[in-house]
Amino acid sequence: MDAVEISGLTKKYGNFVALDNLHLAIKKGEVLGYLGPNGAGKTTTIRLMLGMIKPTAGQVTIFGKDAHKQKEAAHASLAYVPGEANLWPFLTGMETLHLLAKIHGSTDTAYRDQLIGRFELDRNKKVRAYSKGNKQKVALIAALASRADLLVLDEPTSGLDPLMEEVFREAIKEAKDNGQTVFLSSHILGEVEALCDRVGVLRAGKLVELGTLAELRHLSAVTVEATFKNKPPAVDAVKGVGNVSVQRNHLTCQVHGPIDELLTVLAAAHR
Amino acid sequence: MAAVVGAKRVIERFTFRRVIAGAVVFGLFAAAESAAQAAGIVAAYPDAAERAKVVQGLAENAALGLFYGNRHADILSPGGYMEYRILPAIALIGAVWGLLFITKMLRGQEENGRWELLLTGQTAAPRATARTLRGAAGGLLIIYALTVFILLAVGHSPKFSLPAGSCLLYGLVVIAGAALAMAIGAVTSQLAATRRRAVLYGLSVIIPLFVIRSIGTAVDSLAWLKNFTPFGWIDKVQPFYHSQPRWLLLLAVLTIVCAAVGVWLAAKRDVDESFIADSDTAKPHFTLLNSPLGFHFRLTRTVLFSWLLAAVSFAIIVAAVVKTVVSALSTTSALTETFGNLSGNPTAGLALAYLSAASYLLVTILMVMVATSMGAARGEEASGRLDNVVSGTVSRRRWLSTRLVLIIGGATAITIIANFAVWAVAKTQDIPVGFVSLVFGGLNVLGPVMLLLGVGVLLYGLLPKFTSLAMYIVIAWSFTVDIVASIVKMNDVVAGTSLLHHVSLVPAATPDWLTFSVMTAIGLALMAAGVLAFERRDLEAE
Repeated sequence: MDAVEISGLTKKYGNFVALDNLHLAIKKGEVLGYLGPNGAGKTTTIRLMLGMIKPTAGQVTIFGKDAHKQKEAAHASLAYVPGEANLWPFLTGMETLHLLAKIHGSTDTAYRDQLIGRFELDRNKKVRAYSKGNKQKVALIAALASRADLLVLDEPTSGLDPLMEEVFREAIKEAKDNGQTVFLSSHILGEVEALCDRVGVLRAGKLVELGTLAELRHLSAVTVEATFKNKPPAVDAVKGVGNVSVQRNHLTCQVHGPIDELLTVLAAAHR
Repeated sequence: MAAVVGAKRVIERFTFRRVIAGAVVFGLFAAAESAAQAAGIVAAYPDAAERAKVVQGLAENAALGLFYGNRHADILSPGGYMEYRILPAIALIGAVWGLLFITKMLRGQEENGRWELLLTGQTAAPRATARTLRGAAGGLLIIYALTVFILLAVGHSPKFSLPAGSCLLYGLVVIAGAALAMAIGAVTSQLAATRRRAVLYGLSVIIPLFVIRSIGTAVDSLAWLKNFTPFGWIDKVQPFYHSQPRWLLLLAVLTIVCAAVGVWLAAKRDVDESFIADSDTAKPHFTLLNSPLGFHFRLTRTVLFSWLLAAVSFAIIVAAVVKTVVSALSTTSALTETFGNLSGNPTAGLALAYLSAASYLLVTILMVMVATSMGAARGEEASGRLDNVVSGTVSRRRWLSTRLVLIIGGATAITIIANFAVWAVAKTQDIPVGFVSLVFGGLNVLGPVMLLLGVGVLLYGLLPKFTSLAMYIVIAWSFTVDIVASIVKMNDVVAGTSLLHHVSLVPAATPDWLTFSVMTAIGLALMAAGVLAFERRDLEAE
């Protein structure tokens, strides 16, 4: 049984299709990155996973529990961090963490205290006095300290400074080492690259790519086309170059990684 | 260039859009209540001798000044009675509404970060504050237009003969309380760090000003007090009797000065700062954070205690003046009958009938309380805070049910305590009223409250954005129909559409437990349906 199984998941608002026939499975212990531009349907997917909105078609199961029909049972094994932490302004950070722990049903208090230190959170400050990043820290600490089997994170580092982003990455690696599954919605490529085993790419409500980082390397390739007076140079041996095609004096190829070496070869042939 | 002008007006337009619904409801309420009073006095006392008795009875009764206006005015005429009977209440309700609205738009928006976004446009804090006030003033224009239009339509009839000029002036007086409160709210929004505190500061100005007015109206030797409170000035304008618009001018000047101070203060502070500092840190208290019920109580306890205080205060005031009222009104058979009709028992003694007014006020307070409570529930969802709760192991059903338990429990506790206060104060005046009939019999007022709550929960389950608005419309309708039905003969079907029509006001009336049970059962069924609908629909954040 996979941690998350999504089959034929569709969400329509009138004629607008927010999510279109999504099929996706997340293995236990896997960190899945969920990439896509704004409005692609990432948050819609998460809200469907959490049973906050009902699907037009399809189904989501969390550890075998239907996310819509058995919400509470499904929620028992997950923790969620929203893209924007909307918390109760008059509670302090510590009170909020206590409340969220009670709502979730469990928390590792020693780990929570450790995370408070690592994220440098002022626990006695009222939420209304927190910056956006600090509110996000509260939501993150609450989710991570729950030690839930599945972490559902919707752009969790929005508002965090680079140092705190690093703390977050360490915590996710610890969760992975601990056997937890992570669903990480993000549009920060570096974050996904550093943390994820597999990546799904969503565009206009459709999953257009899914695979390991190695499998998706072609997505980051640069296509180069060059026309020469004479026969183009051989570039197959140049580092990162692939898919080379030569037609008379016209060269087409793709480059992964630095392009400098290819440019040097092409420039030399041009002289 | 046109685009720039449009951009500058966007705050006015945004505020205006937000004020329309509330302004229409309040405008219709003010106009309907005023027209109902005019119609009521004409229908209830067609005979001049009977009216003269009423005037004498009311004029001699100082205690009524706590609630009503200038008793020395010409309350024989429909217009005069209208301004005497309902204008002070409209001014107070309008002031509270205006304060709540403007603090939401100013400090409330600052609290949730939207104000900062507005200030990144072609504006600065003082200008944005002024523009917000201008947008809110658009709401006042709506109230004015509705009031004047309805009064002119009603006043056209020879039975009422309300002069057009007086109607125009009456409309200005109707909006005066709300306008001043908006200006006061603009100031308190600069002083307080949170919207909650801004409202509290505003109320701590408005309520004492109203109390001073009431004392000045009730006690002739202290009538001079009314010169020092804007609510006293509102009484003194008297649109239908010796019009004195200069008091309105004074109100306008005070309103403009307060608004200007608010705008000036906005320029003197940084965004997210306040002149009265509020501690940003606190020692954690976990006692009420261990269960949804405890947490809901923590969220709403201040509001609940405020409602309790309001209900008990009104109950004590009504009970405290019962003897005075009885001696003042006992000569007027029509008024006795009116109180009797209002209480649901025309043959009850005047003392018991008047004590029933406490039940009437109580049920009104409870209805507003459940409406605001459901509004707060919707607020949790709209702000996205509910996501934190229902993404855990707390089901939507449990979340809403616990909230309902707290609302119903709060309403029940308020009813018992307020009725106990009435009983205790009445006892000190040797009014023969039974403890059981008042304190336990008084629980029957919860019938319409439960039904209203049921309507609110069903709407919340189906059309969450309209929950509050629809509940306030039901309250305003019920209040208006019931008042009119108590003084004129009304079609039973129409009268029955008022929730208040189905409540037995103790101690004058014997509780009708069958009606109570039916209303409660319907309310509970609607709540169950609403909870089920809420479980099945999409959560809607704003």
